[in-house]
Amino acid sequence: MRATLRIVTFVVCFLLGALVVWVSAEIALWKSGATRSAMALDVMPGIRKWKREVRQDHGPLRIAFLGDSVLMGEPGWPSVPSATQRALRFQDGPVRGANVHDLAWPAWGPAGQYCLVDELIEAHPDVVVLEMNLRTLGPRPLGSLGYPEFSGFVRTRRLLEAALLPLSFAGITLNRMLFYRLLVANGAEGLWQALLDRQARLFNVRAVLEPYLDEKRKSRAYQERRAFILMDGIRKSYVNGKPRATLSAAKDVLGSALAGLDASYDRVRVFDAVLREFRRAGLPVLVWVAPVNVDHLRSIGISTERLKTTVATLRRVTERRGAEFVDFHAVFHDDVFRDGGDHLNFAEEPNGTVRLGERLAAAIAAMRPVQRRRWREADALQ
Amino acid sequence: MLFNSFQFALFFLLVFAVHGAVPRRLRPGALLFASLLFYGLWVPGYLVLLVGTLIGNHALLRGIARGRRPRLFLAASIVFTLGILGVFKYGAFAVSLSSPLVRALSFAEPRIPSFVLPLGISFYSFEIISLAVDVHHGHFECPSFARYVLFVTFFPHLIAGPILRGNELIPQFETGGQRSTARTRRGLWLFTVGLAKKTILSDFLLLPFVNEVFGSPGAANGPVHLVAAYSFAFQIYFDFSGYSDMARGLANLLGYELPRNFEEPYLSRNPSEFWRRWHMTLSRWLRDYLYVPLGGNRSGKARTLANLLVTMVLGGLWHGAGVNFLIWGAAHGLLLVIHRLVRGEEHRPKRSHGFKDACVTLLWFQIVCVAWVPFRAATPSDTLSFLRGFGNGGYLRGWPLVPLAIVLFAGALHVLERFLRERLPRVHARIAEAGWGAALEGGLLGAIVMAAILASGAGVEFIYFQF
Repeated sequence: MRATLRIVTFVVCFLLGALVVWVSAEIALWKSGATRSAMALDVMPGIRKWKREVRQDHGPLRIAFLGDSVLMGEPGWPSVPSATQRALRFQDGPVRGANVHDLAWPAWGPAGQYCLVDELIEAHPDVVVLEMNLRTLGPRPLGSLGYPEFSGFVRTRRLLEAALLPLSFAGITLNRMLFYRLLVANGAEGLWQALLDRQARLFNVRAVLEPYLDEKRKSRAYQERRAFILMDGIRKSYVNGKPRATLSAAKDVLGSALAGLDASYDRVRVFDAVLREFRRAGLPVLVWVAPVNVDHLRSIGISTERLKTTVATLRRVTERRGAEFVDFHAVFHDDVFRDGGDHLNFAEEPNGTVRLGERLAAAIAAMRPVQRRRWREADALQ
Repeated sequence: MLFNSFQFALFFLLVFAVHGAVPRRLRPGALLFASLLFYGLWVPGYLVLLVGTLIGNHALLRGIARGRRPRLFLAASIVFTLGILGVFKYGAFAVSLSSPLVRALSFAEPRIPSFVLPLGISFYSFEIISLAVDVHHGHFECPSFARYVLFVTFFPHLIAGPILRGNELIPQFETGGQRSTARTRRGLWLFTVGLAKKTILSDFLLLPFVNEVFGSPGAANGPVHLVAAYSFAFQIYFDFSGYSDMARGLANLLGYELPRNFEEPYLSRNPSEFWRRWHMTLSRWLRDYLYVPLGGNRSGKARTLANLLVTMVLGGLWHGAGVNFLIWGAAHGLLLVIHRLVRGEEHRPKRSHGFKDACVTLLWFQIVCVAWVPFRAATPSDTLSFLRGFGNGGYLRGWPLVPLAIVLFAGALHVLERFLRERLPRVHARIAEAGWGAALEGGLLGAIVMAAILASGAGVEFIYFQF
């Protein structure tokens, strides 16, 4: 009896102690006004909206444009998908009235695509245009940029296969996948996101506290420190006077592709698994390799010869899965790139975004499924 | 899975319940299953590697125990184990070091292998070797295969130590674990305090500033670099000692004891004392299985000093495949050599800590903090930039107040740890007897656990996680 009373007292006080800390944290957040940056689960409403829009599109051709920050433009400026849409209007056939539905966020590569592929398929696009950014092939581990929370959206029937895929480079381990799956399957992703939101905002309370103390003490110590570090970051992002990747940064993100990959490489295997799912769903896919600033790489002493080996491997993997492949990795010169992440310019001439859009439009128009649609329409008209 | 994750909490609750429910003689089997499941829930493929390594090594261990050519079997076990460790951990490093030569000879860029480091490989490799040596020397009998696998894979210590000896853990399995109220309470406290050290002190309070300054070495002023060096010293300590406390706490909850791994190392007065207090199980492994076999202090002064240096350099390399870890190990090796030269034979100062000792302790702490710089910096050139950063501007202004306050707080806690370690068992016993004891413990533990949950941020891994 005494032991039971002690246990009950312990549990009740444990919960009370936890509650006191929770309330204190809420007060600290309210008083500090700390915010947070975007998180992976923030994009789920956007994905669901994207799915609805694709489904509700009754146009002649629904194109799902999937990729990373290369596709994302700046507000008020054309993006690669919008430039592609514009260029499609100059093509013949069903593509002229096609609608491009783009879905993109930073570093969204094969691992994240594999996790969300069921969501993408459920949108029922007519064609999938899938970006392959060689930078997502590493060797740098993606960690949190692999969006491990997305692994909760791997459907139960694919869990065994997913368990055997090498996804750990993206921070997706089996235990995380099962845990997130448990949350998503029980509709608890919202609760999880609420907890992550609190954790992220509490983490940022210090960023609010230091400038506040500086202001109180009439000091500039914090501002100076931030300024020095910001200037250092800017300095390191410039090579020969232009915003370009340094040698170590280039090797960090492109090293694997530069060394020449074969199909056994972990991220290529995951990429293959993505294509397999699209094929199972009967969705035609066009894979395009995003442009790489090969001029700049050569200028800093990096050989780009073996990129061709990597691209050839990706082509073989793509075509084995019945998808189509276009290679844009070396089509552009240095003047169309705007930064060290190989993002394209959009306001200067030559305009990299518009040029890539034109090439993509031509590639989409030349896709076999699109051509077959064109012939079917022509037959119907006769 | 990380100890500070919800999925581990679910896993452990299940294991704790099942372990307590099954008959005592079945507990080792239940633990073995749980440990293999724990490892497989990370990357299943590496479970195959681990089990394969253990099958091979157990066969060699039986060869050692049989007594026919035991040295050959011991050598084979060491080569086999270190070979696997070498490929996974040092393969890429070796290729990148040799790439200028390969490029010159063949005009081709060598392909640098890309492996995900199997979880805990550095730790379990050392345990496999230590058991093989102990069996060879007759200090321990060859255990059964099941006990052997459980010894290596026992999940509380599998991913980041403590590095155990066979005679420390295997005999405990025979009893099926001695669970008791006192041990359970101690385990709860150890785990919770370890969780707080890791998530609140290391990740929440210290890590952001460390990342900020080490991410741009040489950019900010001298005081910022100094405080960043102090911050990292405490960050790595709380991160690793926090993990070790969690491991010991989990073992206690299951009825087992694991040895301490830290004894307030920053209160040391010299390098020799530091290495008796920092990562104690690694230090003793290096002493008993590397330094002593190299000759220890039995082969003359020059050889002794060389053995010290080699041991520490290899110890540095164990921590990571990179030039920076070599530099860190060599720095500590040199410090030990200098200390041995100055002090003569290994000097163990007496216990008391007067004013002179406090000054010496502070001085040694500065040296340790500077020595940590190559361990944390990304590259040797970042190390140099950071060290140059100590000389940026004066030290009269520009101190980062909040990080400095956190460092002072961390230092005070470190001193408090020494005080509590000696007095806590009595305090704990008094609380257990008191009527309000359950309420106080429940309230405190609940507050700490919730604070740790809220401070968890992005679930930062232990620094030693993939060693």
